[in-house]
Amino acid sequence: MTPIGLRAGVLSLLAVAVSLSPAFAQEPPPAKSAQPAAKAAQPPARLTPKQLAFVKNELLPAWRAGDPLHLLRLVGEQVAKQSEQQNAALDRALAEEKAPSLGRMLTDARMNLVRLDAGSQAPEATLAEIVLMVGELERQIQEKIATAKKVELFADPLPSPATLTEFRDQLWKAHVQNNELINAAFLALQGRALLNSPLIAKVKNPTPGQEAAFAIDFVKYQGEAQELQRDLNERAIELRVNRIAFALKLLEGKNDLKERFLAAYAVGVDGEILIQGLKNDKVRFRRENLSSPTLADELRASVDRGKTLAGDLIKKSELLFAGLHWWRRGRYGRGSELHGLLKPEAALKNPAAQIGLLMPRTSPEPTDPAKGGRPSPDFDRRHHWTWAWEDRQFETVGTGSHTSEPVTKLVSTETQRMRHWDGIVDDRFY
Amino acid sequence: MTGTVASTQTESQTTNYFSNYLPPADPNRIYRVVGFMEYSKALESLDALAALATNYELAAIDEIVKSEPEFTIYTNLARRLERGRSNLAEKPAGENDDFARKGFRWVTALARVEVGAMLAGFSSHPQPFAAVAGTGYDLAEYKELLLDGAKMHFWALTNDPGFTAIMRKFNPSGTTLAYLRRLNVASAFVSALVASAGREFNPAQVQEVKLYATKLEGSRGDIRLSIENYLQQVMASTKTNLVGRQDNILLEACYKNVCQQYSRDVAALPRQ
Repeated sequence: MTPIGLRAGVLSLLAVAVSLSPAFAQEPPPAKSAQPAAKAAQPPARLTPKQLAFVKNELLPAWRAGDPLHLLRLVGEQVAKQSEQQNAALDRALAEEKAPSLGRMLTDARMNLVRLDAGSQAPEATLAEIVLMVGELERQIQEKIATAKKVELFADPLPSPATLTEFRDQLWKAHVQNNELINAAFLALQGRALLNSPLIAKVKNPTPGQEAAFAIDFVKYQGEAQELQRDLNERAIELRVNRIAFALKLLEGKNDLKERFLAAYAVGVDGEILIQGLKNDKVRFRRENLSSPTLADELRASVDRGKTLAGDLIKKSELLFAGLHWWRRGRYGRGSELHGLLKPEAALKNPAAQIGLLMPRTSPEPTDPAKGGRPSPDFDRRHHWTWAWEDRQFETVGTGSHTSEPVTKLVSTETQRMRHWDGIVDDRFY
Repeated sequence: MTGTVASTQTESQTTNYFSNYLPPADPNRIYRVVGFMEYSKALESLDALAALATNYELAAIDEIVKSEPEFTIYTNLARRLERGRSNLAEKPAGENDDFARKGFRWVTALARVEVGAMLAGFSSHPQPFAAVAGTGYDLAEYKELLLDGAKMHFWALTNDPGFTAIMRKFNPSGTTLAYLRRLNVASAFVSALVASAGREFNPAQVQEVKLYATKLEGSRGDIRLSIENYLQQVMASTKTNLVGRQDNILLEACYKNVCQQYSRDVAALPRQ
C-alpha cells in the first residue's frame, strides 16, 4: 500500500480501512468462539444463505471499517435472533475470513468505547451479548495474566543484568506487562459490571452456556491482576535500586562516554525518582530488600556520589532519553482512531487524553518501505497519510438534511494483539 | 477554518431555505494527530541537548542512537513513484546503499519534517517548516527529508487518478478538501526545500523545483477558484437575508486557510 493508492476524503478512508486491515493483521485474531456455550455438546449449526450474506456484505465490511458503534449495532441485532449454535457457526465463517469471533468483536468494540469515555453512546447490551462478551473477557484476562507471569522479573532471585542496556530491556518488559495487568484489571471490572445486569436475574432456566458465563468470577480475576501488578512493580523498583549500584560502578571506572550517559541517567534522574518513592510514607513494600528503613539514606549517598561523578551528564542524559522516549511514541505510537493516525476527540480538550497510545510490546525494527511486506513503522512518514483526514463537507443547512458525513473512525482490534495500551508517561524515560 | 456563509446571526432565518457553506475546522484538531505532541516534545528535549552537548558528547549520543535499530530511518522513498530522471535525486551513500539512515541528526530531522507537515496540513501557520527548522545542526539530514517529502507528495498526486478526477470536475465534498490539504502540504514542502537548500541548486535543479511549485500552485489555484465560484453561485441562488459579512468570511476561508501562500521562496529562485 503506497500513498498513491490513497483516495482522499471520507469515502476513500473507508477504502483505506479495507486495504490496510490485512496488512495489520499479522497475528490473526483467534477464530474460535469465546462463548462458554461452545463447550456444550450440540450438533453444529449451518448458516443460512441470508446469514452468509450478512457476514459477507455487512459484518465483515463493518469490522474492516472499524466504527465500533456500527459494529455493536450490527452484531447486537444479529445475535439477538440467533441461537448459541448459530453464533458458533457464524464464528466459524468469520474464522475462514480471518476475522475475530462475534464475542471478540463485541468485546473489543465495547471496551474501546469505554476506554475512550464513549461507552454511554453504546446501546445497552442484550442478554445474548452479555453471554458472548463475558466469555471473551475471561479469555482475554486469562491470556494477559498468563503472559505477565512469564516475565523474567518474576523469578527469584531477581535477574542480574550484565549491562545497562540489559537492565533497560528488563524494565521495559516489566513496563509492558504492568500496562497489560492494568488492562486485565480493567477488563475484569467491566466483566463485573456486565454480570450485574438486571437481565441476568430474569433468566429462569439458563442454558449451559449462560450458566457457565454467569459463573465467571471476575472479582477473583481483578484481584489476581492487581496482586500481580503490585508484585511486578515492587520487583521493578528493586531492579532499579540494583541498577543504581551497577551504574555507580560504571561512573567510578573509566568507561566510554556512551556508557556514562546511560549510567548518569540511571543514577541522577531515576535515582532521584526512586528516593522520592521510597520516602513516600503511604507505600508499604512487601519485598524484603525494599523494606529496610535505611534504604532511602543509602540510596541518597549513592545518588549524590553518582551525581558528582557524572556532572552535567545528568541533565544531558535526561534530555536525551526524554527526547528519544517521545520520538519513539511519535514514530511507533498508534491512536485509537483512523488506523491509529488519530487520538480520540477527547484529546481536543483534555491533555491527558493526548497521552494514551498503543505501543509495540517489543522494540520494533523498521523495514525498507521499498521492499514491500508488512511495514514497520506502520506509517513510513505520517505526513504521507494524515492529509487524507477530512471530517468536513460543504454542508447544506435549512429544511433539508445536511450532507456531511462523520469522519471514519477505526478502532483497530488486530494491532492491539501486538501492542499494549500505554496511557501513562511519568518522568522515567529509560 | 472560519469559512462559513451561514453565520450564527442568520441561523434562525435559514429554516425555509437551503444554504451551502464550508463549516469551520476546529483549530485544535492538530492535537488529535498522533505524532504532533510527541515529536514536538522530542524536539524540545533533543534541540536543548544539541545546544548543550560538546562534539565529543554528540558523537557518543550518535553511537547510542545508532545502536538501536528502532531509530533507523529509510529515506529516498519518493524513488518508488517518480517518473523519469530527476535532477533532485538523493545520492546513494555507496554502491549497495539501501537508504537506511541512522544517527541522532536523522532522528531530529525526521521529527522536524513530521511536525512541519502537520502544521502545514492542520494549522494556519504561515511558515510551518520554518517554525520547526531548529538551529541547523541537522540541516543536511533535514534537507534530504524535505526533498523526499516534496517529491513524494508531488509524484503521489501526479500519479493519483482520484486527484485527476477532482481536478477535471469540481466536486464540493470532503474529498476535494482533503486533496487541497495534500496540495497545501506539498507546496509547503517545496517552499521549505527551496528556503533551506535553494541556494545550492544548480540551474537544472532550479528548473525542476520550479516545475513542482508551478504545478502545485496551479492546482491549488484551480481548486480555490472552483470553491469560490461554487460558494458564490450558491449564495446568489439562495434567498437569504444574510447580513453582508458573507463575502468577507468566504474570502477568509479561501485565502487564509483553504489555500495558504507558500510560493514566495520559490519565486525568489534565480531565473534561468
